[in-house]
Amino acid sequence: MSEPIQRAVDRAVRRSFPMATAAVASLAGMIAVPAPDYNQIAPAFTLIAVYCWSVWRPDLLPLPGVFLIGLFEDLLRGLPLGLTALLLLAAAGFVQSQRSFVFGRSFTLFWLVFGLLTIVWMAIEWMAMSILLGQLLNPDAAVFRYLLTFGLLPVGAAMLLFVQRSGMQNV
Amino acid sequence: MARRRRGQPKGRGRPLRRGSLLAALRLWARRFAILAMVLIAGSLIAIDRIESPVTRELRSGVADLFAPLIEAVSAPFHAAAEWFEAFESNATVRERNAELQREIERLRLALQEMPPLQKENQRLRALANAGRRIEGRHLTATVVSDTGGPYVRSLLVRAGSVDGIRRGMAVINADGFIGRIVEIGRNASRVLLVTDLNSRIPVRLEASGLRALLTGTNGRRMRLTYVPPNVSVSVGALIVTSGHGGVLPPGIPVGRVDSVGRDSILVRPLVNWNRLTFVRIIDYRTPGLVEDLPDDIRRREVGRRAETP
Repeated sequence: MSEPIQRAVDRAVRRSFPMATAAVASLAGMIAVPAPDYNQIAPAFTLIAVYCWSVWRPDLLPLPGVFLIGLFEDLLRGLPLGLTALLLLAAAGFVQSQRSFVFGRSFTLFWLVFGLLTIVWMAIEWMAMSILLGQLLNPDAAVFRYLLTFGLLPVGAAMLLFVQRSGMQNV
Repeated sequence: MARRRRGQPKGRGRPLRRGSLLAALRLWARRFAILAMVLIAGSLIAIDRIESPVTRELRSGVADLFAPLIEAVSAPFHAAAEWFEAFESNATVRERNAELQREIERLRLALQEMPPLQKENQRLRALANAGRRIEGRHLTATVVSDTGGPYVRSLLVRAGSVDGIRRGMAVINADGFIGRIVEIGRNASRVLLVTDLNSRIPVRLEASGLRALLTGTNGRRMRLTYVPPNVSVSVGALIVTSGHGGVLPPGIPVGRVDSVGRDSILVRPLVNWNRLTFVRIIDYRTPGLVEDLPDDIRRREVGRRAETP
């Protein structure tokens, strides 16, 4: 393989990191961790990845890609097909259009905005599921899931930042 | 500003206009794509609501494809959990040992009573002219993942159509009833847990034989419905599958009555959901049901029945 082609492939691979990490985050949320009730309160890792990349590199996180990851998650989780896709699309679209508000500002603001976004995201998910299942669902598990997702943002962001700094320089 | 514009070479404004047109087109394309995706998502939700076979096939296909990967990634977590469990304190081990000794004694006593009970059972069956008890084919499968999240209680297991798995089959373990198969891929299937909001299981109270319906709540307990109002149900009563409808085998323990309120009777499942590694899938078929026959024979049978006056 000639050097320009190698360079092009390398660049393409590096540019696919945001989508790839979002897909991995989606799978990570489905791992069977043998802890009490973990599966009910498993953090929304995909939302963390989508939020971080939407702020840092929206050019490498196309909305159709986010939509497909949401569909994949719906299919594998047994959720109503299209629901997570729609929610992730809305979250990514909103953050990408308002990213100037958090980009380059303090991490506290970055975290707080994520907290607000996650509250809205999970409230809409809870309402949609209540409507689709025809009864008001108990929000307890969703509240714990929210707390866990919100609390894990720094860890997720640190990991994604490491990916960005080590593998996505100059792409 | 005006002087500068006059100073620009001819045609300088054209690429700018073309650029802004391109940007506008891109913006419109993006908006159109978002709108299209929203419409697709809305349509998919609607199609999924009517339980279309297309979405079912799609789910099974994706589960088939990714089950081995999730299983492989989950393996270290299971190994870690087993490792931690091995570090039980001496006191716990001693306590468990005593408990097991008591259990052995109890089982020995029960075993002594078995032969006369077996004979009596055979005699009563013969008297009642009851046919041979149907034994279902069993298959053991590993649990790949608890995928549901806060709103869906389901499991992915590593057994599919190649293993002879069919929709509706009962899934159990040593503790009792877990759920039933709702989606089948080639090598992986989805189990709807008995605690899921969409789960409805015909059951009976083991002691009284009273029939009822057990519905999931998405919570830790299930609700016993269709219980006659003047019947008393005691806390701790064992609930087993009734076998009504011929889909699930009768007599599988499901749970114990946890609380009896004015409006609802709540049942706690017997299964420990946090220790599910292996499950057993039962191929139980009641002979004589049209659904048990292969498709072509079934069609003929249904046709014949329709013709019969």
